[in-house]
Amino acid sequence: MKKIIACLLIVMFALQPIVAFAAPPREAAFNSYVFNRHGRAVPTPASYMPAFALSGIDMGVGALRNPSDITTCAEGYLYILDAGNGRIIILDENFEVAKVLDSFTLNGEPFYFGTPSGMFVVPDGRIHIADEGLGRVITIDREGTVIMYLGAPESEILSENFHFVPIAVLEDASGVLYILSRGSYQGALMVDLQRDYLFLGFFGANQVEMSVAQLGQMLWRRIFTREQRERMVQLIPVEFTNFDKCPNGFIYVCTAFSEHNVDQLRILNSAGGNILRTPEVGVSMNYGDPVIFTSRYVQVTTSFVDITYIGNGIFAALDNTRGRVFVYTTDSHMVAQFGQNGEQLGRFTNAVALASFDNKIIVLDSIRGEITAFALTEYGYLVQEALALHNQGRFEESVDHWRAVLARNINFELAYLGIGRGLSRSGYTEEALWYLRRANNRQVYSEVFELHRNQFTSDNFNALALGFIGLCIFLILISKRKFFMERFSKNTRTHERA
Amino acid sequence: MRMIEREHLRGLFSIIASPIEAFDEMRHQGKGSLELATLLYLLFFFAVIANRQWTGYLFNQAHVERLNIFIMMALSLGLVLLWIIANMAVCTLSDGEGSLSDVYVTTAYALLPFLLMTPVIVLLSNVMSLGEGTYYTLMNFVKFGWTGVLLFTGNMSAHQFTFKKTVFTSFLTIAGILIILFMMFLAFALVTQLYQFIRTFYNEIMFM
Repeated sequence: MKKIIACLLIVMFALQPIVAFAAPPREAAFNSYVFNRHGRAVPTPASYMPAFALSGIDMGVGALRNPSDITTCAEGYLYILDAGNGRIIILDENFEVAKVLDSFTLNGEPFYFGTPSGMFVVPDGRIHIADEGLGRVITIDREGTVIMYLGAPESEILSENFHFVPIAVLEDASGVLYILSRGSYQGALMVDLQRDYLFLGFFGANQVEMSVAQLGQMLWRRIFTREQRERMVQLIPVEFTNFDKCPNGFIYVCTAFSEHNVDQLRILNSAGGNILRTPEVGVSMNYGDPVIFTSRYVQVTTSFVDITYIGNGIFAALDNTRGRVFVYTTDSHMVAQFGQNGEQLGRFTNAVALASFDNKIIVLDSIRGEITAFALTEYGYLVQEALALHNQGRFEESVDHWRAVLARNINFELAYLGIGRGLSRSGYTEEALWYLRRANNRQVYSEVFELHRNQFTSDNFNALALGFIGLCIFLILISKRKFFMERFSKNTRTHERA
Repeated sequence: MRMIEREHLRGLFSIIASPIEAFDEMRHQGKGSLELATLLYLLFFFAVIANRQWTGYLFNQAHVERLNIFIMMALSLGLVLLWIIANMAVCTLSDGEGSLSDVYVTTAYALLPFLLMTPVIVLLSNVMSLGEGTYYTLMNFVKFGWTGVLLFTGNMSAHQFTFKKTVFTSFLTIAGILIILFMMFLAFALVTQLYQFIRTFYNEIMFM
């Protein structure tokens, strides 16, 4: 008997950790939120939940050391840049290791990376690597042979003390290489690969933010002499920290720190102009969490380190400060938030890179050396489905999807906006206005309101016109009442006489 | 009992046509009525509330669901009261002829454009779209400008000042309002301190 109990106990204890691991993470443990138009964080159902985490050992390739970037390619592979070990690990869609690139050759000689920090996979299979330590952009082919070894481009535009420290790189469809160099406030360097690495100039610099300091400088600059001016502190825009290319050619850019915490995320067209719309036209927006002052001088800001296009007109950006991922639409409506610094599954120590892979969002933690996959929840799936229709302009069809979203999250402004737009398309302007009011979008409300007003006046034209004429007559009678009264009494008098 | 006579009402509305003469008549022939003025202040309070609560959604940035009537009172009637007190204080020192009731009445009468235009603007704001927002801004501008001009002329005739002197005293009045607010704040802080001192003292003696 004792033996049986002992056996049972052993089995129980042995099983316990397995059971504990098998339990799926609860949604309640991840307080998701979305900022509404008033900037308040509104609790929201989770759009993404951590599915699993994979370390190098789990993959069977040995522990990762300071991995610095992850990226995907068109063929459906996930590339992990294992910087500390100087290798690239390629995973297939089942998260099985497909290939490990760990030996590279340059002109037949073995080649080793310095500290690679950014990676981009071209559809034809070449891999660009921004090597921060060597100060080079390196291109390798599928087998690991180095086919390009690019140093700082030579140009008169570049000042003599320009340091070429590439941290991120990407290539567009026309064969232009965009290289982001650390500390380069003029923007990313553009190099034409077709025309013998010709330096084309800079791309998409941030603008200097208007501030009191800048206004002061502009004033002093007018007063000062040339020598004094040269000794002044120069106000320069902040450099951006990372970028990503979306399939239709736009480049998504994120900035880690900006003085006023606005416009940290941008979508650039080929001319370098920002096409990321904000809910209020022409008004800059604060992305991520607002700035918090922990003491008078110490402020905690959101610092975006990576950005990725997901699809359906939404993109995600990773905040390194708090380990949070923010999902936005291209209209700057916040869709979801997930992740956090911490110890459990789905939390990070130092989240550095982000990729959208196979309907999941993958976050790379460089200190733990592991990737975490976040999968869409039912709610998240509904939102994306509705957004997909919304982005194609199929507003009427999206109404039902938005209603399903609204049933799960009654505080979601975007859902109200979607329903409002759909209903106004179908001609139900009055109902649409009800929703648009809750969407807190005055611009769209105004447009639909105009429609509704026109409809109302044309429907009730007769009544309105009659009412107006009646009112005019009434006013005339009131103002001329003395005149009419006299007339009337005179008439009666003449009648009496007759 | 008829406290507000027809004569008073006629005097009030003649302000629209010829403000300077109307204010002078009011002063010299005693056409101003304290009762009517009080009624006007009450209406002013309602107008401010209506403006906040019933302005159309497109032009209304206020939290309509949350109304603190005391704050609204402080912002409308309190401000007017401060104006009257500060103006009285400043103008007495600079040899103004007006009495407190004169200032009280003229200030109330000067609010007439505000009272007349607010309902119209509130109504129109409910049928205007953002594209017509310029007219809304313009109307509001006219409303406040007109009220300001009347406030100025009313003050001028109440104290029998010249134009220059009225400008001068108006600025002083605004400064006076700020000083009064500052004093109130100071007094509040002092009273709190005093209260705490007495409380500590009491505690010290009672529970030593």
